[in-house]
Amino acid sequence: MPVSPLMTQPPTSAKPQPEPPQVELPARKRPIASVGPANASGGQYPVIDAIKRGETPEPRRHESVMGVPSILEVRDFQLWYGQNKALHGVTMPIAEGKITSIIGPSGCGKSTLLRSVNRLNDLVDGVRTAGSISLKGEDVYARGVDVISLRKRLGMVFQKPNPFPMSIFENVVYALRISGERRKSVLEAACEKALRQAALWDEVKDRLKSSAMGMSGGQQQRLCIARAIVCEPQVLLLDEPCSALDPIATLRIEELILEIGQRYTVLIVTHNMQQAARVSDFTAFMYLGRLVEYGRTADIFQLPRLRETEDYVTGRFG
Amino acid sequence: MNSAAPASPAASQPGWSRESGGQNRSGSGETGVSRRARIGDAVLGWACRLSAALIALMLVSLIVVLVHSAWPAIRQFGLGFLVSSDWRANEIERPLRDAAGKLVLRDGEPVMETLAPSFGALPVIWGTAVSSALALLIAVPISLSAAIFLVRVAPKLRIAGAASFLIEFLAAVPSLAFGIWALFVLAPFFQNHVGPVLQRVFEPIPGLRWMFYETVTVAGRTVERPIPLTGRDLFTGSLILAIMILPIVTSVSRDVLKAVPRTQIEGTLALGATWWQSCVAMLRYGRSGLLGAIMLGLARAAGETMAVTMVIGNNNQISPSPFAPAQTMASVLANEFGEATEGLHRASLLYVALILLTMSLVFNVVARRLVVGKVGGVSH
Amino acid sequence: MAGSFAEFRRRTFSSIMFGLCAAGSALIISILLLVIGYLAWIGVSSLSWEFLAAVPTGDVANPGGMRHAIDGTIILVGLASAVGVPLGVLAGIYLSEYPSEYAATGPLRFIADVLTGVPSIVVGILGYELVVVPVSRWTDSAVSFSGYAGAAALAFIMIPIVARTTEEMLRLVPQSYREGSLALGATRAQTIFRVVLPGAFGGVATGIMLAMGRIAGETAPLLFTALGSRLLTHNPAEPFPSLTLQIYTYATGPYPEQKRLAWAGILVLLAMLFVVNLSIRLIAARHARTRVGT
Repeated sequence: MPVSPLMTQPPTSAKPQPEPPQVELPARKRPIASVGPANASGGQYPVIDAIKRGETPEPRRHESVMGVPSILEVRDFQLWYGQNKALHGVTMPIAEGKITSIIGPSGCGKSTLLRSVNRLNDLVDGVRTAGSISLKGEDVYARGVDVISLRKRLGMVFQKPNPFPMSIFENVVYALRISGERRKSVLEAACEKALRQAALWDEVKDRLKSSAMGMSGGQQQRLCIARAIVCEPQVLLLDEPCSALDPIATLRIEELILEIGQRYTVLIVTHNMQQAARVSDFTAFMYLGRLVEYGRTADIFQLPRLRETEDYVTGRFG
Repeated sequence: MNSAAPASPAASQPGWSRESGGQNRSGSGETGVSRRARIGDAVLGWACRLSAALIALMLVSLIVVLVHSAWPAIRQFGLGFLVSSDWRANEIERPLRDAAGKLVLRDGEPVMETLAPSFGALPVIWGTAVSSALALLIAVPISLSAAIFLVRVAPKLRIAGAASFLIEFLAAVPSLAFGIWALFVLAPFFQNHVGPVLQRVFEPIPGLRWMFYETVTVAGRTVERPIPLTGRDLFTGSLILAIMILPIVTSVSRDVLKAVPRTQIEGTLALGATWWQSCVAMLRYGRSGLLGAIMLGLARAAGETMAVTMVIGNNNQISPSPFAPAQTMASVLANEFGEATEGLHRASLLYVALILLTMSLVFNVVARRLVVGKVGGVSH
Repeated sequence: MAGSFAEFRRRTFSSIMFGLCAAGSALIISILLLVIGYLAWIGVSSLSWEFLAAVPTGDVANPGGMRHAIDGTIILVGLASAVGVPLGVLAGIYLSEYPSEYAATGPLRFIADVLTGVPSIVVGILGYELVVVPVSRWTDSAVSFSGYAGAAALAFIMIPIVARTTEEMLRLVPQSYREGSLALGATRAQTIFRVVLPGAFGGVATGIMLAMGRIAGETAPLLFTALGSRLLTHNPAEPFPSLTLQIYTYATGPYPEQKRLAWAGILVLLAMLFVVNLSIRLIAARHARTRVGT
């Protein structure tokens, strides 16, 4: 199990990474436009103020999170949508076998970061990246990476449930079908296993052949989770999976995440701080495309090192 | 995929290009299935690109072939083709007359003159322009009022769906069906019932005599003679054209008016406007889209062939009267292209086709520019 | 009171205009019913089993049937669709699913729009110049009118329509389907064929059927390509019959018995189109059921 190399070196030295040759570095770092006055908070939040000035202050990464074995390494990762820089040198390891949540106000880049891991941002025109994200030591942005195989190793669940317009069964086994699996017994076994893991089997086992579009929102989202884990991904990426659901459905999904987290590494983006506190082992707080603080969930919520983090998680800021 | 991202050079995109071009570095994921899938991706990509390129090729071949085949006529007549009203497919020999219309005699025998084959598009351009204009004049008020009804009234009566379906179905009825109906029903009805009534009503009105009489030069003398009301004339042609463009103008106008924000209508109503005044506000708001709908109708009318050919009378002449037989660009092509064996005649017809193509392309382009953005819809 | 009189006038005018709008709609629909009703009325009285089963006799008093023309139309539409549907759908996929190649898709979309507005008689002339004339020259024969030339002209009309409707329908498929599929490691081709196209199946099928209905009713593009024929032939290399061409010939000819056949032919053509329209609605309805909740 690879241990984070970041642990052995001071965080500042993460900066000069060997650049993958094909990634074009920006000619200059543009400060983001329309930042507020330099000291908008009256000196109360020095880190946030620095970020608003366009700086990228060194985040507070707790030793507790740097010490655990990591499966995913984000290193000085930067991303531009055309001229707009959405991620400013984010560096964070993701602990293997744990649930890590990313929180922050909207527009902080948390979803962008998540979609960078499986390179779904490639679909957007005019996206450029720099820095690296490595999965089990392999840089996912290196030249010649097979994006298709990469995505097969990473499951993803989206904000809005997006079951395909086909039967429940076909939805679950989609990932196997596109890999060329045709044996009915294999598909059926995998379907049952995934649905059981997604706590959906008992509800739908009698109507596997009916359309997935007729399910409730919460069921659809659990179906999407089942679909994402049918190939046993190395990391499960959850992009605000409960934001379109009612409180009861949300609760069930959260229970499911906790359960799935015992088998898989989960990276979850959420705007709901209580959710992060309830489900995750580690929590990262992001702001305007920068990582601000990163540590054990208990520490982030009870003993944050920054005033900004404390006020954000208690709802006083953000 | 509707990505609204700003434009940037394709080279800097880390997108699909790398997926399709790269070879696998890690070697862990490249299975037979993955390679096959990758090949499938490339095959689909190129199949799509080639099919799309074919569309461009179609337009290019259309223009190149027409210009090439029409070239003899273009070279011979130039732009004068547009304003000449000659249409002589064969050489004609006729007695020469002087300015006063008298035969020129030599040794007691009339002197003959020989007229070479010559072609000009003015009569067919005239016929197309007048029949399309008349058709619009008839169709637009009906279409707009129906569009208003469909948007403002029909939904409340729960008949919007049925009425729309009927209008869409009218649009799907082939031109030939309208042509047959016009030929067998409309034209005789006109000849026997409407025409005589019109003549009785309008002929006595001073200044309208030109509608029912034409002046022709026969054997050097100018005579006035009544136009036979056969029902196969410009007017019937325009009428059937109007019926045929009703559905397209109505359905596009309906889409344009539907896209007018409710707040616009509610705003005027809140200020005490009557129903009709709020409709006027709605029409004003959607005016450029409505203009586009009318242009689409115009393009349709100008290019329409079969129905017009069957009832317009097919006579290459310019007459001010709507009750005289006429010819449009499309109908002259349908009538004469099949038998145009002689080179210049065929080239001239191709020249006409080129003018027709240019005209309808211009109308279509302008119309789409006007409608685009007003309606999010399928091409009509 | 002048004010209230103005108000009265205002309201009366509004009511009159309301009436006119209703009358406009009624007029359009009554014209439709008039035309269709008349065609159906005369057509039914002219229709017979012989019409559907027999071929022309050459006897103007007893002209036989239109079996050859019905077969001809079906074959022509089939040939044109065999070429036009795949090419049109692929082009539509390109316009919708390759947005990163916008430098090409923008102009191509515009060209496809422009092509849908080309008058059909011009397409017929292009078919003559581009297929009939060269083939005659190569084979060194007399003018080589053929079913293939007719089908090519019909495909020319069909491709841009199918491409644009396919594109519009694919655009209605939520982007989340594509992302979901790609995130599972599907290739673009797999995503298109397994998720996007099935998701838009009803719409794409409707567009194809509409285009088929449109070309089945076309006459002008066939005048100088397929030419028409009074023989029952299934060989598209020969001058080829079509329902529309035969109707046109009979309708504009002098013989009353042939005119009766033209009426019946129009009725058959309309019935074929009606079946197409009905299938479209059935497909669309089935499609709507499977997409509940989107």
